[in-house]
Amino acid sequence: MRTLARLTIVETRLMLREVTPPLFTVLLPVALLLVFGWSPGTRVPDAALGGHRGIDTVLPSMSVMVSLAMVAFFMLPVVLTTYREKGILRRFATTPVRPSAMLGAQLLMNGAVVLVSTVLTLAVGVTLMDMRLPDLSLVLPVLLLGVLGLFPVGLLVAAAAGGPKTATGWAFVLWFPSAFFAGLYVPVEQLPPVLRRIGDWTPLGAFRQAVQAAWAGDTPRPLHLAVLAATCLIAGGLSVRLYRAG
Amino acid sequence: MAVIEVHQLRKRYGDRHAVRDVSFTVERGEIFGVIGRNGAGKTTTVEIIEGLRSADGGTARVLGLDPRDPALRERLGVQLQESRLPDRIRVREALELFASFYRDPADPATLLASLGLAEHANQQYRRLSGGQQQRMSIALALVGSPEVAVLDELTTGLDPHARRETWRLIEDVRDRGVTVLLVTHFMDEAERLCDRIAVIDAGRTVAVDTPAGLKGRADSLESAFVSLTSPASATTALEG
Repeated sequence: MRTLARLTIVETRLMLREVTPPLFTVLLPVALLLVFGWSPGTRVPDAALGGHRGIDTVLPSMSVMVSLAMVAFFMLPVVLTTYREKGILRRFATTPVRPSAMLGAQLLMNGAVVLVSTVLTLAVGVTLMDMRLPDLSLVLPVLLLGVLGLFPVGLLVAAAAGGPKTATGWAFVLWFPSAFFAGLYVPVEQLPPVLRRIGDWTPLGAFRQAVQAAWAGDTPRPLHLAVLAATCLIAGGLSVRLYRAG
Repeated sequence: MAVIEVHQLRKRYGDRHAVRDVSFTVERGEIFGVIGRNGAGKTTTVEIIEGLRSADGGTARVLGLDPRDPALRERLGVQLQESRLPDRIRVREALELFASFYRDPADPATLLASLGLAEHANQQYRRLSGGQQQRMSIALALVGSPEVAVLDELTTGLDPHARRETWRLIEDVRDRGVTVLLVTHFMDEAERLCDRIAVIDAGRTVAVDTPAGLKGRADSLESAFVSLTSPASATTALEG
């Protein structure tokens, strides 16, 4: 436990010294919220959103979804593949520290980035944009499930890619269709039913729908929660099988 | 008691036999050299000893334990060839982090001072010179107060001055009672530092002897090495 705490602290310092990636990941979602939430139309009830307002549903879910995807698809695999490429994971493997401690530190730290980004979205939304304070006892468990579902996808990218460049390539390949089916370009509510149905089954799409329901105070659909749980098991299992230190 | 025992070690990567037949024994308190040309199987051999790879055949024991035994991680210090640290980690931070992994670590501050890194303690790893990074790597190998240290190509890329400083350091380490397994392809380094040397060629140990004993077979350690490891005379050397 002490080793895990210590590793997490050092890894977090290292990440903060990089400045750009964590800043981008934390600020991009807030920027999206500000830009798209500017229009007064997001603050009137919308029948297409079940009578909820955009600022309480599609906007926060978009911000949180983008932040989780940035961390899971990009930040996590890039750090891990860099560590493998530079022999850092092998270096750790020759010490008494267990590989799981390093992995645990990365997961905790990256989970914290998603949390900070979500809190910032919430704070800016509630104070500046008339967002209703959501029921956190609904939102936080969904966020946790999202992290547990999507981080293994990043681990799988790290396990399959040789180095950080390949990992970034794979991250983009995942990101664009995932973002499409999660309704980043065209809101899910306006997608043709077939595409919507596909989106329900993609991890990022399922996460966005679930977090959107939670933010609006509704119970997320079991399908979306199940998709996240299944992604966790499948991607997690595959990445463990593919993992190599050097 | 032998600290490291390697017997008829074999390791293959696909069709390539990296190690065919390597045997040697390292006694407590020795500086034991492993020399050979590039690709001779030196690094694979020590990676098996370090527990980073498993052998296809033969046996390896370190302090009487299987190299993969987690208990060994506390007692074996490793300096890896071509292993780096995170770019932005600071010297003291890295050393303190690694020290925290061990039950009975060396004092990071003392170690930094003895390696001439004290004035760089707050510098980030990426800002260090090659020689400083190398000394950092040695410091990490020693921070757990190991009984055995495996140092792989530790002076490669160092200028002559830094090499000599590193040699002095290795002797200091041995004087503290640490057994050292040193992988190198520099003859002067092996001759200066090692009590005994194993010569590895094409995956086989072709000789295990003192530097003087090896030199007795030719007019210098260098030519003894060349005659032991050149294809034409490999067989004669084995018999001789």
